[in-house]
Amino acid sequence: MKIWFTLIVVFLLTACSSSPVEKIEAPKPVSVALNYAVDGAQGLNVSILLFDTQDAVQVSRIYQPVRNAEAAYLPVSLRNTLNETGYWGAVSVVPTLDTASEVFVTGRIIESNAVELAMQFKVFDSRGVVWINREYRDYALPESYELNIKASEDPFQDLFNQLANDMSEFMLGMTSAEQNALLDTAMLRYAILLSPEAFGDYLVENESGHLQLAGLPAYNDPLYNKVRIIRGREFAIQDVVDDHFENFYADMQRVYPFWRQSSYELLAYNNQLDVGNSRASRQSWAEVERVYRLYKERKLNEDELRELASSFEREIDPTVAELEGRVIEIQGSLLTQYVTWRRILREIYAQTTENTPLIQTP
Amino acid sequence: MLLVLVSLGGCASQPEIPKRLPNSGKAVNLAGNWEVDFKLTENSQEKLLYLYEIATSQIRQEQKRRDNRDSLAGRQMVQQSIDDLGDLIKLGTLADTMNQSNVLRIEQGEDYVLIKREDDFALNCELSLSIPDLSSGQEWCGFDNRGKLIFVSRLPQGLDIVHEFVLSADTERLSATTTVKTPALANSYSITRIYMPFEQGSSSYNCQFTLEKKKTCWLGIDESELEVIEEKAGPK
Repeated sequence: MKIWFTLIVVFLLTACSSSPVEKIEAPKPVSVALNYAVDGAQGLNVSILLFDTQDAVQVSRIYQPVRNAEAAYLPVSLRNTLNETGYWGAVSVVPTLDTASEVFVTGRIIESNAVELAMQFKVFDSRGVVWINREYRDYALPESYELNIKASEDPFQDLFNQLANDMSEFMLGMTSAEQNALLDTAMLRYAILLSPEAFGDYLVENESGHLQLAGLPAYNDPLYNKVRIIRGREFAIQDVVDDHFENFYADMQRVYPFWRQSSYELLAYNNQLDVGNSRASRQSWAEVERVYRLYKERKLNEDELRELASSFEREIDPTVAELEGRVIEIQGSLLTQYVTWRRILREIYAQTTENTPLIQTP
Repeated sequence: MLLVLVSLGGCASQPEIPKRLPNSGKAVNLAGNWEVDFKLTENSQEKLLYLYEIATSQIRQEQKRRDNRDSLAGRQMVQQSIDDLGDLIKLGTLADTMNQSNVLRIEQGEDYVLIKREDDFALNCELSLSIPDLSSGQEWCGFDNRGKLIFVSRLPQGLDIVHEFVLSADTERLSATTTVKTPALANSYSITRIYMPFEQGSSSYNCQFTLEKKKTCWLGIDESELEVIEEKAGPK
């Protein structure tokens, strides 16, 4: 049950510079306990797409890199939360949607500052059935910004817990047959991507516009086995992607919690401040110096966040791997490497299946 | 005693903190690398010392006069002046810490200015943003109608910080003035540094952050500049 109380919050952060001082009544944060799987993982793989920042509130061009850093940082927080529940198979953060996953999560940052995090999440499965499509909002508690912030959990962990609980609740409401159908549908979607003429008829669209199984390839279908092998190869690039996100997340941990903390303290100062009275009164010099130290710390952290965001988007180390007897090297940004790798896999599939006869159609 | 403070403030004060910019400022191109011109830049420590000496001298003279009259009120006023002097020194020291960078690297586009300051945080200005009236917890920035780039921050505890950048007519010098004001003192305190342009050369020190290598620094021209030089040189 939500208990509402009045807290005057000054939204300085969202606009960075030139922001109007807006005062709102913010609800009290709601504590959400994470639900854990009793019987272990259910085996559905989840792909979390890098979060979208396009429509975020009042983000200036200068502040956008900080929001971009959040767009890559927050999905990793969600991934860690989903992994912790034990309900899911592989949970990955991906730069573009991975067709072969069973469950997809997209998120849009609506509001993000030290006090409030608001996100629009859409969760859907390989059939196209939408599980969740709604806004999640959480408010930080002052205790979230205690001194040992690095050791403490994310101030907005409740938001991720709530989403994780909603996802597991939906999944648990499905029969095992439905879950198996999701696995088959996902693999067939991937197969259709590689060879629409061979597998296109196995999936049909029902009246609701969702994909439905019309049949399955034979167990020993050589083409379908090739698809499985190629799919396995995709994990190689996923390892590169995971490493990149891990590095980025670790670097963000050095900066982002401290940026949030100094921002929160500045906001708290603003909350206490009655502008008309305080400006006329004589302030303690120690407090003035403390305010400036906080302000400077926040600004320095912002600089570092910008640096991190741009380094994330810059080139990563080339990836070298052996594929079907060939050594492949791909270069460029994370997204470029990801897309290139998948294109190469499709080319290899096409080359190796040119002379393989089709043996089964539904 | 007020005379002491007025004269002291007169040395240190600048015009009031601007509440807002004119609607249509005149943008001036400040882009480039700038290093401090020590010859033209005031020495902040010397300035503070000078203010301190003048003020203490005035306080001593006032104290002497009050002592002769031996009034309690007089002694309290002298003590007040000494306190105010202490505050001014603190304000000056704080202003000094806000304007200490020896190198500025300014990037400027049609709608933004980014001033990267050595050993300090960057100043960012998005010129296209509308500027609200200033109240606590806010920042704004922009060019005024004489081409002065102004950054204003109004922080809690009534701390106002203003950074002003003015390009000389011959574009050879850039003046950077930082003004600090708090309700603790009637007057603000300003400090100015003068910068001159420099070309990034082969002896320059460059740093870059990457996720793989973290922060790496090197002496010499960075790769992007090398490409420009190679392009200018043409095919070998």
